[in-house]
Amino acid sequence: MKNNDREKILEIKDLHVSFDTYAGEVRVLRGINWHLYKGETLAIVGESGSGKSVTVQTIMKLIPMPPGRIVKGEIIFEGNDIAKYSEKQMSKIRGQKIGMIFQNPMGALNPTIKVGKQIAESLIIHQKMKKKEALKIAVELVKMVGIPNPEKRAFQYPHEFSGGMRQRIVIAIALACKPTLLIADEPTTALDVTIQAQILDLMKNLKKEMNTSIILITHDLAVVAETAERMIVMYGGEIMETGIVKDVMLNPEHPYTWGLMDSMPKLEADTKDPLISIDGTPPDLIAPPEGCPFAPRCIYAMKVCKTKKPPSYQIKDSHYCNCWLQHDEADKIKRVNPLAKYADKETDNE
Amino acid sequence: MSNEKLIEIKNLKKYFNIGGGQTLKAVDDVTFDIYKGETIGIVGESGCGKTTLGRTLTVLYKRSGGEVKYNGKDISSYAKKDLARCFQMIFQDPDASLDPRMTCGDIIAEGLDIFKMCKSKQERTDIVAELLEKVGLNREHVNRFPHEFSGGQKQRIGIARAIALKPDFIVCDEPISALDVSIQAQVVNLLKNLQIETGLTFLFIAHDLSMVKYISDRVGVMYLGEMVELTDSNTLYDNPLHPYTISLLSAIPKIENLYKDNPERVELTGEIPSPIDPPPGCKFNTRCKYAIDRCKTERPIIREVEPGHFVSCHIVEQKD
Repeated sequence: MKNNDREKILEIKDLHVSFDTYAGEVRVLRGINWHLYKGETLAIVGESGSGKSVTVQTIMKLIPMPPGRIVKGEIIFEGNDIAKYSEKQMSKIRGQKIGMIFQNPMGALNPTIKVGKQIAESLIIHQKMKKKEALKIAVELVKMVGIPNPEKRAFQYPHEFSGGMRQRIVIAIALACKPTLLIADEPTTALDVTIQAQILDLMKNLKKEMNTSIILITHDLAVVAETAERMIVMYGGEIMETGIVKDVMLNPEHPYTWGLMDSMPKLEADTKDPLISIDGTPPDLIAPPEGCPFAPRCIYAMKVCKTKKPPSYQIKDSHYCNCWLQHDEADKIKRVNPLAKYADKETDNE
Repeated sequence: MSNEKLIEIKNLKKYFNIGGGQTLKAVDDVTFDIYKGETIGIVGESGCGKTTLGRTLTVLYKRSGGEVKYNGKDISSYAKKDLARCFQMIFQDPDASLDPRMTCGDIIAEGLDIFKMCKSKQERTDIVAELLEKVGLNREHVNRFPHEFSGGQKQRIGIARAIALKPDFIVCDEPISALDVSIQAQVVNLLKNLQIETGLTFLFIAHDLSMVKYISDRVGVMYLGEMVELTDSNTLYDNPLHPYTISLLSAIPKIENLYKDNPERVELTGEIPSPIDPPPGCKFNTRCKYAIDRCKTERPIIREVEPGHFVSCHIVEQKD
């Protein structure tokens, strides 16, 4: 599929978000640019504090303002700049056009209301359905997300469900109004691997059925490899690298992406060599580094990295990397990619 | 890793009375040995009893039955205070396990003070500074409070506290699950180096199976309070025998699956049954696709199918 032909459902242009605190202005996002095509799964990865959750919470206008504030930038959703929308306009989009799945399913559900009613709530509000009709659809949704015995289960309280089942209910709520965009903020982090596999499969199947676009936030690169088409690597409130998942994982160009990939142990490897860790800690965003935010922890950092922000270099098609190492005058770093053998496999197949 | 047994566990049981005449069998008939200087990993879904096992071994919980021998003698023959020195624990949540009103130095030295292991104030300062440097912190950090540290640093304080008394055995209860990937690698490398330096024995509880494989010499898989499979880590991942282990391993997302649209999975249907009312026979029979009639009535006993490879399953037993 040619990317130019695809419809952009969401586009973020030069987004800056800050929080005003007693200690000073925390500049959480500094110039984020990306877009999401219709029917695509886009993964945002990064460590805590990299700004991945703030990005989606800004899209949903869920950050408290004040202290939060959009300094500048546009969020274009279906042709309109929702960054300028009022609370009243946003409430029409939330739950109807954009659904959201949170990390902690118990925190996202109201413990005193039966789950069926919680699913029906958005149908009653947004689609002006009658209560009876909405509950009927709620039961269907409970069935759709793979919960056995839906007629009975829809009329139980959240505490009667296990963690994985609760997350299924949260997914049912998010999908109730058939949103065009689904935001999943670490949907499986709190779950066991066996349940994680079930939930990821469920999301994949539902996406195929309903042609929803998904933004998946996670810190698990393996989850990205199995579910997403494109990925964005974030660090310290900026984008480090972006592109098709296969391109980024097989030919990562940014030293931070290298660090992320190296610090995970590989299941198939038998080696007990020490893991390669990234020394140091993420930057303080009250006084963000002038140059590349990763420069203080980067072993390849040059003089220019600490003083000037790197531009976005195009590696291949939609694969971009924000790093001075891509400059013509920089030394070329040879990195042995542990995943290179998979890249060879692909060329063999062709 | 030596062949000397540090801890021998035989039919260990830990039951909780949950009222209404019901008991929750959190750990039920677990038998295995822990060798000196090894890292033994314990994996399983939440609620399988891995944390209870760790806490029962460190005598934070009183066992309901079975035997635990430490250096050949039953642990009940040791004074509780001695055990508290020899067995230490590193907890999952570094925020909850450090007293927010104590300084980093006092947290680390608390055990030293209790056991009166420092003769002078100067010695105490020296030991604490040495421990701080050992875990990769600065000696200047000694007067700071926990909230002034990042998550990874807090976990380092927890590690320094655990090794302060020179214990033999440390239970690490999900020590890295609350940390970021790049910080996880730092903490895991630190634990490994400490083991090489001091010959510590670790029981490493985690649900991140790839990290467990990396850090452990042997790995045990638990299901509903029972140990279903135990063997050295490479064998477990290359040649798992128990149907539960097989599906657990296939559920892990892998970067290697980048080229498969639908990675092969031995899917586990349904949810883990309630441990209050576990199914009779093999506890896994309700979710096992190979289950035969015998599995529904007779409880399998863990036995050695290959040297060093323990499995508790009727099907595996029949294949031999």
